[in-house]
Amino acid sequence: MSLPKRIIRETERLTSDPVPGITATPHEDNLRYFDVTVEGPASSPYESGNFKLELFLPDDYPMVAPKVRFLTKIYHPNIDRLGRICLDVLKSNWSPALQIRTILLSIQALLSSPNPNDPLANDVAQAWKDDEKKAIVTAREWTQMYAK
Amino acid sequence: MDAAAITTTAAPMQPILKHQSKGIDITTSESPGPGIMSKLIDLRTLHYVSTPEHLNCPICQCPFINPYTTICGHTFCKACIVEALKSPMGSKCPLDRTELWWHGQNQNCDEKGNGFDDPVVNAFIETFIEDEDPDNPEVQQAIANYHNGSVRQRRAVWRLFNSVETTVEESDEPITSEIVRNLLLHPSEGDQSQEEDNNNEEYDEDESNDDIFPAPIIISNITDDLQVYCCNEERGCDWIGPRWNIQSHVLDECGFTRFVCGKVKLDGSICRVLTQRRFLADDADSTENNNGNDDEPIEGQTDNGNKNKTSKNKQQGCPHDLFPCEKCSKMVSQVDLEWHLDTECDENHLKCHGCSLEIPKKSFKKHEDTCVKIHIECPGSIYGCDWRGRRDLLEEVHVKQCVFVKLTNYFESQQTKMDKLTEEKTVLKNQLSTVLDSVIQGRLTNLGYPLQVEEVNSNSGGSNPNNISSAMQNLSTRLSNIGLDDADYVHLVLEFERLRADMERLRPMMAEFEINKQIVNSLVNENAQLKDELTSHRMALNSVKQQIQFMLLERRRVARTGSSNNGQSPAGGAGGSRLKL
Ligand SMILES: [Zn+2]
Ligand SMILES: [Zn+2]
Ligand SMILES: [Zn+2]
Ligand SMILES: [Zn+2]
Ligand SMILES: [Zn+2]
Ligand SMILES: [Zn+2]
Ligand SMILES: [Zn+2]
Repeated sequence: MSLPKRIIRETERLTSDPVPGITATPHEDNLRYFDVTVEGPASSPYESGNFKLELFLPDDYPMVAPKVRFLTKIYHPNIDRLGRICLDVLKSNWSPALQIRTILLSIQALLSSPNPNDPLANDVAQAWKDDEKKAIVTAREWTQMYAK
Repeated sequence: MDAAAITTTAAPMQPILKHQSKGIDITTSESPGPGIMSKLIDLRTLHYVSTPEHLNCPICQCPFINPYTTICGHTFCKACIVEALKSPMGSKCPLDRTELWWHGQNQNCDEKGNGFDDPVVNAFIETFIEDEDPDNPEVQQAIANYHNGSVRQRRAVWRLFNSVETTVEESDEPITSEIVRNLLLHPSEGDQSQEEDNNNEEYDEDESNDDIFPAPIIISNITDDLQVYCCNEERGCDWIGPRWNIQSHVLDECGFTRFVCGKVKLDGSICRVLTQRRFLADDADSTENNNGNDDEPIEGQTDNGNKNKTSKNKQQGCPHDLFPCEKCSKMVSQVDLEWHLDTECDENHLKCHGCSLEIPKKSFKKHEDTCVKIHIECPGSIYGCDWRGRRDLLEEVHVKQCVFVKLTNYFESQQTKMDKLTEEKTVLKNQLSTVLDSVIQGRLTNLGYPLQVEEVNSNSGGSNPNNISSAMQNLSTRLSNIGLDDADYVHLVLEFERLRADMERLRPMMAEFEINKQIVNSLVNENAQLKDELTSHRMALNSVKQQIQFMLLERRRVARTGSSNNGQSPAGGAGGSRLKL
């Protein structure tokens, strides 16, 4: 099956006009599968971390959202131990007018503003609610340990 | 086919690949009508000369094809918006999530009118996945099925789930993970029920009540007039023309569109190799040299549908028949001749301008780059050196003297710096125009930040006053309440600019007036002074008059006294008569 023009255009734009702090490179043998790195946003517990993600565009893309998953371990109330992300635009709020770059920006924004009230990783969210300072310290430690 | 034949056909491997590069192939013998054409050319794969960003569909990101506009004023390709409305997102505008009704809406719903992407079901499945051991391969499979499943599969899962729910309710059993696991692991079962349903589904085809309708004709005209390259560009066609003309070009003119050859081969059979039109033209008939070699290159896929012989082509040789090259006598076909002469033939000589040697065309380029006698320009010519001469002279004499060559390093570093700055400028300009664009259109691109998309765009409006997006929402609601839409806003901005320009033009006139006013003022002052002076003169004159009167009276009194003393003196009479004056 040939690659839709939209995916080709998006890929071209991601390379020619990259989002600051984010890279996305398609696999040579599967142009729907991207290796993604996201820099931890400044003044967040993930600062100076370099997080690896995988992004896959299903056959129905852009009618369904891309599948994104963190490969680097991360301590975050909206990201579980399998790296799955709780983000509305990846699920119910997906719209075909959104793009790979907007999704990656949303993920970067999620790192800046964790939302323990809409958790995916329940234990982390609980820790976050109980003692935010301690949770942030843990998140920083994890960043140092895994995202270097 | 024997071994010898295979070796002869193995050599032109390169040209075969070249002829098969991307382009349009017509494999049917019937005259293709518009229906066939639309299958042949996918307008979305066209290469546009330039694509103005605002004519791109937000979904497929190509210039609109059959544009449709929504009631909220957004435009998409018809195919794109219809597909989006059928997608899990449901019947909403992909840009601002306005609810859109359209006649195909029911396809998304079950009999009860629930969307198959029911959040309750989704949440249930998510919880199920959560509760399970993620290392269990079965569960991983289930997750993969659910996440990677197509819309159809997800719909099927939902349908299955729904049917399970009803049966379970009847048997008064709670839904167990077992059942959910089963349906997640075997979504294909759902596909079948989907297939059956498809046959039963009936849609209301009446479009008149839809919230999407054809965009203004001017938009389709503009997009249809966009310049595109030929679909056979990669095969060497350099045609550029409006999009509406691409089909007739490819079908009727383009020499690079491939057709089934259909000509009679030397052995009497019909050739069915796909061949570019330019080799099939009736006058392309230089292949009469019969040499008895009947072997056909095993290229291309023959088309079984084309069995009827075209008598018109019978007299002419097939361009795939081999004949010896005029120069080197190697066996080539008409189709490969051009390539053979350019890149393979050892005897196709060109004369070098410098050294007058005969060089085969295939290595001519290489010779040109090394020949010491050929005349070339100084490498500093791009910076202004106009020296031109033999390569050996250049290298041994000129380069050592040329100022431009010595400055080349400096020029180059400047050039890279300038390029970098230009690039930066372009990036900034793009960013600026994006920002301006979204401000003017009142559409705040929120970069996909979580949860805000809905608030920025939906008409219901946000309630949190601290939220920028809801503030924007309030603002735009207020604007729309006082009857201002985007066009009005743009109009106001333009009006404001016009007034500002008027004011600038009036400013120098104002200055002139100021000066004139000063002049008038000083004139008025001067006038007042003169008036004062005049009054004082008048007063002086009055006093002189009084003095004269006094003196006259005095004189008359003296004269009267004198006449009474002297009687009638002539002098007195004269004096008296003078007094009467
Ligand atoms: Zn809209
Ligand atoms: Zn489109
Ligand atoms: Zn052409
Ligand atoms: Zn032929
Ligand atoms: Zn030759
Ligand atoms: Zn030469
Ligand atoms: Zn020079």
